Amino acid sequence: MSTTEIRDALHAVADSTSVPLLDRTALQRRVARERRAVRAVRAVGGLGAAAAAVLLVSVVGVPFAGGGDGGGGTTTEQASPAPAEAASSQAAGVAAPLPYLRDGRLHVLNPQGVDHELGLDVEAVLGSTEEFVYVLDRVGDVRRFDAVHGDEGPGSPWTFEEVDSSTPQAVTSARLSGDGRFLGWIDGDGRLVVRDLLAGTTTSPVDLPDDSHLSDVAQGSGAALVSQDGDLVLHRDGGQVAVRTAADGYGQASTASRERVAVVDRDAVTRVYDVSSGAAELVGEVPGSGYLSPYGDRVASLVLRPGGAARALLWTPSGAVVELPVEGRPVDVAWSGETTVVVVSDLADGSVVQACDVGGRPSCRRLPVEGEDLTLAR
Amino acid sequence: MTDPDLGFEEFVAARWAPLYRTAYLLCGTSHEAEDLLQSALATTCVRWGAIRDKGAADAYVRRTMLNLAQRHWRRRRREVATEHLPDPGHDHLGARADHVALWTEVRRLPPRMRAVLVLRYFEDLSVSETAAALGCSEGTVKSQTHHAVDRLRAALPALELAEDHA
Repeated sequence: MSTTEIRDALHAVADSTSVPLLDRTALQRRVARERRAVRAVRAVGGLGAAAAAVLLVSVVGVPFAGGGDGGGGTTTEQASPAPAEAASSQAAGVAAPLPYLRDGRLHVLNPQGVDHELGLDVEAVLGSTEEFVYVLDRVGDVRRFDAVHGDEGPGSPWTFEEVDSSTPQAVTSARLSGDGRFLGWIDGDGRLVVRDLLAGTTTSPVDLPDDSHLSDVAQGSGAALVSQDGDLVLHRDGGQVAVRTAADGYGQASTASRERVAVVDRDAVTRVYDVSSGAAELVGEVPGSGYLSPYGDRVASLVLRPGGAARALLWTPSGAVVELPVEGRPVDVAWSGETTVVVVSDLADGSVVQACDVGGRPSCRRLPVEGEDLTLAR
Repeated sequence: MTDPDLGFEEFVAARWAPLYRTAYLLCGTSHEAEDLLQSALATTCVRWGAIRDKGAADAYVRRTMLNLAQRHWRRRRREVATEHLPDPGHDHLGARADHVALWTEVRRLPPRMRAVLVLRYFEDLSVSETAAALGCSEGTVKSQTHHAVDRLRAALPALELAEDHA
């Protein structure tokens, strides 16, 4: 008798093994966790160019989201009062619609505190204004939802309707500027395009090196911050500005405004540069992964420490860094207007979203959004 | 072999069962097998767009399972060893008694040794492919195979096992 006996036994055992049904919910949860882990690594510039390219391609190539509409077609919304609080503008605590992902699915919390599930599985929220929300879906298409608010006063109901985003399909990365005026993307041929949504004009495509990633589009100017060939470059009218990255990072999670760039470096420090002179001059540092406010005056940062400790920080125009008084362990931060930082934090029984007013002394309050897997814009 | 134009969801639907069987043989218990395969598929999903040759997706998942499993085995090595084989799963209805007996002894092998057998005799990989999948030398694969067969032969003297030298 030869090892054929082992071969036969293994095949017999395998064939007689009862295979459990695929637990799609568990798999979706793991996929979301894996995405978050990859994003966290990318946020501190920890990926090399090749790995970054992997991630970018994966953005357009991950259709898995059981039961959801991951593909084309106009979506429908389901509005429901948010679970935690009564629906009122005070309860909502946001001035403009707040898009977020719950279990990878697009939701918008309107200023009245009503949650709208827009029926779309989404890779990333690109940005939003009071009037619209742009997202990147799971096949790399840019999708736009217009907010429609009745004119019967503050109590008028909100609805969100998908409209044609007028962008090419299967882009590799895309961003909306903080002021919502400029939409930029890198198309499937590796060309950078920026559209001025206000003027209705679009730049001529600019060829980029392979595997480039659009990190942000600057408010006010439409300058595109691109991670390319291991460098961070601000493409703007009149030329390019090279922005330094520390510790051999690529700065893919960096943000830009008209005059500033915040680089999330690989050493877990965000460095703020003034680029108004045409060169990048360091003007501040904040620990963690930090993001510029829409007009670039402040930076909200998430600091994750080994062992699980985490803090949400604010870098102010004076250069001071203060901790935001959030409840729980912060896991995600984003801006909603120039003076509101939105924070997702983990509590013992799930995650909550808090809005922190940073116009004066920071104060935070819970929004009527809860869940296990919540992701904000960025 | 998978369709090169397959989406991830279709891939999972088509390959869940065969991949689970491989995971089961690697782990020896049903709950560990499911856990391992889910983890490997989550990793694969996030990198799906980067897998240019979707026909090689099976191999990608298998390699990911092996990487995850080896990490797990290294951790478990520090734990107290036991003779008890947890979670027999089920009684493999329909399988011959001598196959079940052999499988019981295969499950007693150290995980890495068992993985060598699974890759060589279930997945039909060559010595060099097995070495590449496990991140070890061909010599290690050969010696692990040799030791595995020795152990099985000692445990089941009624079976006259001999090694392939392919």
